[in-house]
Amino acid sequence: MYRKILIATDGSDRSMKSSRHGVKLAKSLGSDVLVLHVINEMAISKVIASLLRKGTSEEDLRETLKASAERIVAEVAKMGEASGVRVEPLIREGDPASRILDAARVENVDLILMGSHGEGGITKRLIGSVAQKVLNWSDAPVMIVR
Amino acid sequence: MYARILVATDGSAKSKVAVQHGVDLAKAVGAKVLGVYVVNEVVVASAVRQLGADKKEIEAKLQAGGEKAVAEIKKMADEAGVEVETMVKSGAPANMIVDLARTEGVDLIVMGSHGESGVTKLLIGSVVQKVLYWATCPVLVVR
Repeated sequence: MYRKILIATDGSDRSMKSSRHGVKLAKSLGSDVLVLHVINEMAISKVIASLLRKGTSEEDLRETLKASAERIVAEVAKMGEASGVRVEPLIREGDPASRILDAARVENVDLILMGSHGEGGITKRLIGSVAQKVLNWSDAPVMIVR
Repeated sequence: MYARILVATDGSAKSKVAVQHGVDLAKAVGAKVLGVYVVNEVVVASAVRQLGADKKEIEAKLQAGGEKAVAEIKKMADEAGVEVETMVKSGAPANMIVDLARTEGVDLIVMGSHGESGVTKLLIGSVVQKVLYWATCPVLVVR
């Protein structure tokens, strides 16, 4: 049915729950998974660096976020391992929705699966801005898992 | 994975692509399909009030269109060897789809990104947008 499923996650609890659903779906369809975490470029700024421990540079921030990204995709890879699904990790930096759409196109995936809200989801919005943008612009089918 | 998949259609060609996805997915995971068409009560009311249409007549027409649309779902499912049940309901499409998903205990909703009222300037149709807002189960949107 779908050969390759792109699971996008920001590492939040909600998002990891959606990822788990994605791995389960991949298992039942015999699909390969590409798990993508996008390091939000907006998080790497002088302003944010200045709010953290004194002397923190933008480069330090990037390193920390990279390490966190590695952990996030590894967690999904572990879910795949546990259920016999091949999971390929992918880390990108930039605007999350744009990078998700790019990856879906470049990697020629058959389905994008993501949560309705990620980390920024505490607002009153009914659907998160990243999911909304992906839904608006994706050529591939998109599954939103709440 | 999924026991029951709700496949919504408005009978349009675009919607048929989504139906095919829903049926194929149901086949792949061994799910049953619930094919749904909703007669849009807002369209009926507006046709009566603004266009002077006869209420009974327009309802019957839309109902017949709905029957035809769900018959197509049934045909696709039959061809794929997927167990299928169909419904034609009347109401506000998005609300009805979300309500049905809950009351019928479906595990997934599949629908097209746009229906009949088409690729206007909206990037995603208003019905699917509302379903995405309110559905408690996963929603698969097919372009």
